[in-house]
Amino acid sequence: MTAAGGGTPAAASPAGVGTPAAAPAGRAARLALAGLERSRRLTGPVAGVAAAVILVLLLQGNGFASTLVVDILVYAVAAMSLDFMAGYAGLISLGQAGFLGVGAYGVAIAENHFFSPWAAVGIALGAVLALGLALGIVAVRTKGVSFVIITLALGQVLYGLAYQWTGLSEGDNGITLANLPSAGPFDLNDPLTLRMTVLVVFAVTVLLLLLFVHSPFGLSLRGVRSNEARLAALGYRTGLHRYLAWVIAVFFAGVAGVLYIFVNDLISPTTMAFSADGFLVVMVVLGGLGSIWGPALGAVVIVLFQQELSTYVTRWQTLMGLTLIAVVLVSPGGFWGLVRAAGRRRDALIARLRAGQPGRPGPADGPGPAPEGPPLAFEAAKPGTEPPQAP
Amino acid sequence: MASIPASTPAAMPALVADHLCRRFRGVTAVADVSLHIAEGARFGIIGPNGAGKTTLFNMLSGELRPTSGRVALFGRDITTLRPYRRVALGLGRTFQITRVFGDLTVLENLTLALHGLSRTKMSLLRPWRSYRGTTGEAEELAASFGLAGRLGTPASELSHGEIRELEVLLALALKPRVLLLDEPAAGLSPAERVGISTLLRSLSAGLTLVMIEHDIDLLRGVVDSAAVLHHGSLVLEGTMRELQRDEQVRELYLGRAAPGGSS
Repeated sequence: MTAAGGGTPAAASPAGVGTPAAAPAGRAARLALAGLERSRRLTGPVAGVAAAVILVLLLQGNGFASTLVVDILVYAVAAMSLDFMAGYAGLISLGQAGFLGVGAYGVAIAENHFFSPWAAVGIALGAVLALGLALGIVAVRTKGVSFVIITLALGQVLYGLAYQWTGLSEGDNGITLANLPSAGPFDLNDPLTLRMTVLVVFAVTVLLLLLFVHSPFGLSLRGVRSNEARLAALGYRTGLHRYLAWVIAVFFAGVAGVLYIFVNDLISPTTMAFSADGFLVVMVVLGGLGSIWGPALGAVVIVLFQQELSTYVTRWQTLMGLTLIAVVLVSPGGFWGLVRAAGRRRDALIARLRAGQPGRPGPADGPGPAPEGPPLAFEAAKPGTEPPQAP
Repeated sequence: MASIPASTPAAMPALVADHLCRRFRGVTAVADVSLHIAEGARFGIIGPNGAGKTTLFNMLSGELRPTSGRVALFGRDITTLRPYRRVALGLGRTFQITRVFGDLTVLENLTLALHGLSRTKMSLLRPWRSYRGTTGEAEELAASFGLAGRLGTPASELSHGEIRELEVLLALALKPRVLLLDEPAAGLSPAERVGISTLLRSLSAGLTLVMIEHDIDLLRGVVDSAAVLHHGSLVLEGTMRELQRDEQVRELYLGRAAPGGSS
């Protein structure tokens, strides 16, 4: 009975009404419970509002804010791609900005060689994919620290190519892009269309990566990270899983690169420099390794630091370092870890309040037994928070 | 899923170790060990610490390549096959140092194991929770050995006994025809030992079981015959009763056991 009463917030309230003695405390608890219940239901709407804010910022012309949001979205795609292999398969890459560069350079170089803008996009993504497939054979042979070093080396090779292969990349000056793809009324040269396209690509990336990490393949990647030898003993060809994770991650970094050159019209070697690789890792760690959403938050913070704070504070990188230290100390799971912990605390509180509510009238009504009500109800309420409890 | 009844030991042996040797930088860990284990047999491997038992297991399951010698599973030479390939052929194992996926919940651990032999393990576009058949099987498996209430618990938060059970369940989820168990009861309390012993005795008769275990009482309850390893060599092989009567074995390994114990 008690468990059933806690099942819906509406059913809980009438139970406590009849007792004037317990009213103040009961009402406060009820209000708190209702508020918490509401906050749980509000998670979706809050996300919707955030999306709407982004949309409005993007729509309101070529102002500073919309440029900032677009930059954040581009880097969020790159950071999430890194999170896919780092946070799930445990493959922390220090070369991810290199593949962003390949995507961007791919478009620019192909256009310079008289390919149409659409073909240039195809060539760029094809090049990233081919490079990912080829380099993955080398990179994924290693793991742990060796993998970090190998990817660092690969990233630096790509950077070096961009810097010194001047015939192709125009070296230090970088390449500017003249034309963006267009098809009939859909023209990426129009700033608004471009911004909306970036938003759509970001959204599709989020959806795909979330789908991937919740799939059996995504589960296998978490298994790789947790205990690779055990996974091999369960019939998994773990090297193949790590390889695929790498290829997917590299491909989405290339997607971010294509967006990057569309947005900036310019790609130069600095975009692929070691510091850029570092910033991507910082976005992922700051936002929360292994959460997809977290690194998007990390991108918000880092891009804001880079572009906003740097105009006021010369030593913005010091501040960024201190922020990183503070966040990692307080919450090893990054920003997203804080969000998750808050959610867990709220659920625990809801469970406690629900448990307390039906029990409260008992002692007030009749000074008798039944103090054992709450713990039982708590036990009953708790498993309900975990979905898979089918008999 | 039931395999051929165990009553025909004359048929092809389930698992054969043929003159297996393994040296580590000149130190011989396993020297010329040959074993023929019949299908459906319950076989124990005993011996003092450092006798080479786990090294032998690692060669059987593919974690280690033998320096020389061969391994065959149901007549097929698997000496050069990597572990995941051997798993696909029906060879399962557990580890002495327990290996479960600590960051994953019990349900996720078992789901991972159940996808192990299916193509669905590469599936990208469908949430693993939507594979109702698989998650249902995982829940059933957990329920069959008292982990039903722990499905949502991360494996790292389980008790030692529960982790051992989960470890065995992970291996069983693959429906192996031959199961290698490396000290399944290591570090367990007497009560937990009873639990794992019950679990092992309840396994289907068609399953071939090879088990390293120090606890002779537990071993006696589960296996029929055993081999004794010492300094990497096979010293003796026989039924449990024969082994317990043997002077050499008692000296080597069962030293403190009551002499002449007729079970």
